[in-house]
Parts: sequence; C-alpha cells; structure tokens
Amino acid sequence: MKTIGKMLVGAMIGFFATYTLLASDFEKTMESIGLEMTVVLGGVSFFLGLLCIMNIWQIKKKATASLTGEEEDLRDEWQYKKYSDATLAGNSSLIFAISTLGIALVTKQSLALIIGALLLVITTLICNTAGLSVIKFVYPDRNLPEASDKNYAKKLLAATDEGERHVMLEGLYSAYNSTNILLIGAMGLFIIYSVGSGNSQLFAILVIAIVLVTVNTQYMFKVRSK
Amino acid sequence: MKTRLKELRAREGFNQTELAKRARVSRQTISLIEREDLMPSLLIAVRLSHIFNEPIEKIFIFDEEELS
Repeated sequence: MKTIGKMLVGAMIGFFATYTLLASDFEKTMESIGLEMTVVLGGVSFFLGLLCIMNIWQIKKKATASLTGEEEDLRDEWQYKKYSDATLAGNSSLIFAISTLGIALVTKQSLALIIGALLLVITTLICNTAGLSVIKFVYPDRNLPEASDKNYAKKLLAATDEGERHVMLEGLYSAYNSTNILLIGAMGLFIIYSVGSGNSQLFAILVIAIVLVTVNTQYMFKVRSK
Repeated sequence: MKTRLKELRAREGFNQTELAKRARVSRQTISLIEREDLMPSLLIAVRLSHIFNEPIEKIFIFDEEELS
C-alpha cells in the first residue's frame, strides 16, 4: 500500500510538473534564454573542473608526507574521500560541459561561445584523465593500471580486493536501480511532453529505450553467465 | 558475527594500514571487517589468523544461531 501511495504521489507531482512545463511553453523559453543557460552551465562546469583540480592537488601534496600510526590511517581515509570528491567533480564537470556545448549548438550561439564550450569539454576530459592517474599517489604500493591503459576499467577492477568490491557493489547496484527508474521516468516525461506540446521527442525516447535495453541486457548476461 | 580484530590490532601495535599491508588487502577492507560490515573470505581470515597467531574462531566469533 505504501509503494502504491508513493507511486500515486510521484505520478501527481510528475503530472503537475509536466503541465507547468507545457503551460509555460518550455521550448520557446529555452530558446530565448540559450545564451544565459550556456554561460551559467559553462560556469558550473568550469567551477567543478577547478574543484576537481584542487582536490587532485591536495591529494598529491598530502601523499608525500611520511606519517605513522593513527595519523597514517586518517590520511588514507581523507585521501580516499578526496579522491571520490575529485572523481565526482570531474565527472559532473564533463557532463555539464557537454550540456553547455549542446545548448550552444542547438540555440545557435556565437562561434566564439561554441569554441569556448568545446574547449571546456576538452579541458574537463583532461581533468577526468588526471583524476584517474592520481589514484597512483593514493596507493603507491599497489599494482594499478595507467590511466592511458586500453583496459583500464577491467584492470582496475582486477586490482581491487574483496572489501573494495563489496563497497563498489553496493554503490553500483543502487546506481543501477536509480538509472532504470530515472530513465523510465524521463521516457514518460518525454512522451507526455511530445503529446502535449506537439514537439516530437521521439528520437530522445528511442535513444533512452536503446540505452535501457543495452544496460539491462549487459547486466543480465553478465549475471547469467556466472 | 563479532570480531576481535581491533583489539588484536591494538595488542600488536598495528595501525589499519600496517595490518592491511601484512594481510595483503586494502585498509578499507580492514576497516569494513572491524566495523563488522564485511565477513572476510576464508583466505583473509587465515592470513589474519597467522598474523595474530590466534585460531580463526578466536578472532571471528559467531553466535550459536549463525552456526546451526
């Protein structure tokens, strides 16, 4: 009963949110504030990229100090958290940079702004790669793959131990479930929007459907083959 | 499952990082085992048993309910 209640509340919020979007002529509003959105999202991406670099710099700085006892454990814990923060900031920065470039292109902004957005994408990509390589400073004694390695993700997973895998599994399973729910919700929103506004979002709906089927098939095949 | 890992670590004067190095695992794994958030594999349990020179059942203590 609780779940049905939550679903009903969710559906009502979704309906009213979509209705508000349609009533405010979302498409036209987005077009008219294209420049502002490009600048704001670009700024957010730049700030997050900076945060990622700062975290990397702090990790490198602290990694060189020679500590013992409780202090060594606390440093390790701090570095692990900083590394997670740097990765999150780097990933979010890249996502916002791609969104900035997309908005700049779709809303036909000036060439200078489009080039700026493209440079931001490249810079945030470099930040992400630098973020990957900093793991060597966090764990200098471990045999970890280079960030440029073709099979980086596979080798990194192989280098983890059971405790780390346990933590990763919990995080990934929760993210996997959220991805499924959020993408299905996004499809529903696009369908309502397409029907209500007359602006077809069919391409986006199909892309989300393909992503959902691919992710679920990949997961099931991995689980089934073991 | 209860564990005496923290107590034994203090007895030997190891920090988590030092114990992790000796047991060839990450510090995070030691921390998880100490907080009883992770039941270690047999291999890690045996390694810990060798490090502390204690039988496994003296490091990891199970309830009768868990064993029956």
